[in-house]
Amino acid sequence: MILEINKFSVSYGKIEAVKSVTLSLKEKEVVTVIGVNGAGKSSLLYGISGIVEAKGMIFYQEKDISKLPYNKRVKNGMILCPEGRRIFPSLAVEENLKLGSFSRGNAKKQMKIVFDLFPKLYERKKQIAGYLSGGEQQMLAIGRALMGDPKLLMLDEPSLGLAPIIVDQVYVALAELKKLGISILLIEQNAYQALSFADRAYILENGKVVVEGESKKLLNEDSVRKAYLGI
Amino acid sequence: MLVRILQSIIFGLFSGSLYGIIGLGLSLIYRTTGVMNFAHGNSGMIGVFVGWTILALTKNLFLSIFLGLIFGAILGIFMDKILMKKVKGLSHSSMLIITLGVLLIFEGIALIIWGTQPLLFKDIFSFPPKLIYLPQKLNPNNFPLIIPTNDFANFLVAVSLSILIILFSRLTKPGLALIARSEDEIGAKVVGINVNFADSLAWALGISTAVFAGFLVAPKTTVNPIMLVNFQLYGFTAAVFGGFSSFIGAFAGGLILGVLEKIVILVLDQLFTKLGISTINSVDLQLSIILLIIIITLIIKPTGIFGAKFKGKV
Ligand SMILES: Nc1ncnc2c1ncn2[C@@H]1O[C@H](COP(=O)(O)OP(=O)(O)OP(=O)(O)O)[C@@H](O)[C@H]1O
Ligand SMILES: [Mg+2]
Repeated sequence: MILEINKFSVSYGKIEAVKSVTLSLKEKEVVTVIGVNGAGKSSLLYGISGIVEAKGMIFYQEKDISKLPYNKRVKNGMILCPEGRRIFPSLAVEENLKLGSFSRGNAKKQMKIVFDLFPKLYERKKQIAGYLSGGEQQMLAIGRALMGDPKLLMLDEPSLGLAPIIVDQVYVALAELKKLGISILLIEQNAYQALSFADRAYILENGKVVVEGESKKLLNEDSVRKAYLGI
Repeated sequence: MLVRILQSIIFGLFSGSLYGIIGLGLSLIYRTTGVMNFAHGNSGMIGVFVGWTILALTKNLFLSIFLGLIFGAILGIFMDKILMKKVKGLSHSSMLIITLGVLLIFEGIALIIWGTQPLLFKDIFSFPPKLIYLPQKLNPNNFPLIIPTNDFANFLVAVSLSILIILFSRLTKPGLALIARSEDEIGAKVVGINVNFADSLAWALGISTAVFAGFLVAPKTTVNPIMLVNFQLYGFTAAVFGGFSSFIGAFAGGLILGVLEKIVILVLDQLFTKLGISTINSVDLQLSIILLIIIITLIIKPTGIFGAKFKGKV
């Protein structure tokens, strides 16, 4: 197991956004968590990466990391590509990427991987990141996460707000990352894309896991199809 | 006339470099942590008092300046950890009120410990001013350009300091952490930057530069509780002028502000002489000019003359 969380909760004052979630991810596995707006998906990822406080057990590569601050988690290869991209808007594309290697990852080596994956970023490397299109910014955010040579890559709604053709491009890139052997925890509202891509899936409702299983099976389950695929 | 214009530009650059480093410190703290530190000048003043006291005890100028700067850094970290972290997540207006409170407290502390009697601080570089004569063709009256050595040395020191800070922020890891933090907090966290460290670093550096500026002006202003109050206003204007968008912008804003101020005074002088007005001394208008510049800048280009990119936090 690369990641295991057990009775894991995240609260903001009185609001409990993630309620006693148990979830695990094997090495090289792709797991997706789907759920509607406000289900607690982002809170779950912020909790796992240590950016917000969480209660419960969390093991990374079989080690208890519940006391580890977020920057140490990054150092160990747990890297989040956050909701809303959160790139550095007034820095150039290249500078954004270099900062991705702030804690770990060989900048030269990783940059080659990123540019092979997203040739668009190579063309735009001198451009100020804030002027990139939405799709390019998403690629930059994923690229920046890759710069840290992730072992566990957490992606928060990478297809949000992108045109279908760009979404396809992003998923082609994610498939390449899977081939590289990176474990991926993928969060999506776009359930069809996510379920088609992932090995296993969890469905989150009101902060709780309500369904879990192999994603191919969930894709064919009537209740899931009705609630999340609108079929 | 040419000599007078050149002279104004030279004096303007000299004072502008001091506005610049105050503005640089303000914008360092503001860009990184989102706090507009209204206690900036007074934090610097406290540091200068500490340096002055050490000087009185040890007679060692460089040790005193060094310890004054270290004190400034510690004071900055203290302000971040104690005052700001407690109000994290509170509105900008609450932070503003807190820094205003600190401003008053620092002034009170200085009054209680060191009293109201202005304390003298020697020129660091005391050589006679240098006189430069332009060629006769350009300068029919043969007036000299006056370059006071202490001011010139201050200027060089201030320019070097700002270049150092800019290089630091571009080329070192802690510096890059500052930049990333100022660009996006979550973005900084996900690349593994310890944001609390970046905040403390910004405060430490920022307050240290204020102390530094205080040492540079101390021979002129004397060491007293309100020695940096006006300079803070100038520094703020420099940063507004530079748009708070970059550290270079704040320093350049200071230089431009300094020159602009002296040129406006020169023009007003000429105007008043022509109109035969002798009751107004144009130097007294200095502060009004600064305020006017802030207002005009904010109306014409709210993001500053160099333009802030992509965000307006004010
Ligand atoms: N910083 C916060 N302070 C207080 N409540 C929060 C905070 N962040 C999230 N919440 C609340 O926690 C719940 C879960 O939010 P979260 O952002 O995790 O959902 P999500 O599944 O990611 O939604 P979306 O699909 O819209 O991104 C929501 O009710 C939200 O209002
Ligand atoms: Mg979310």
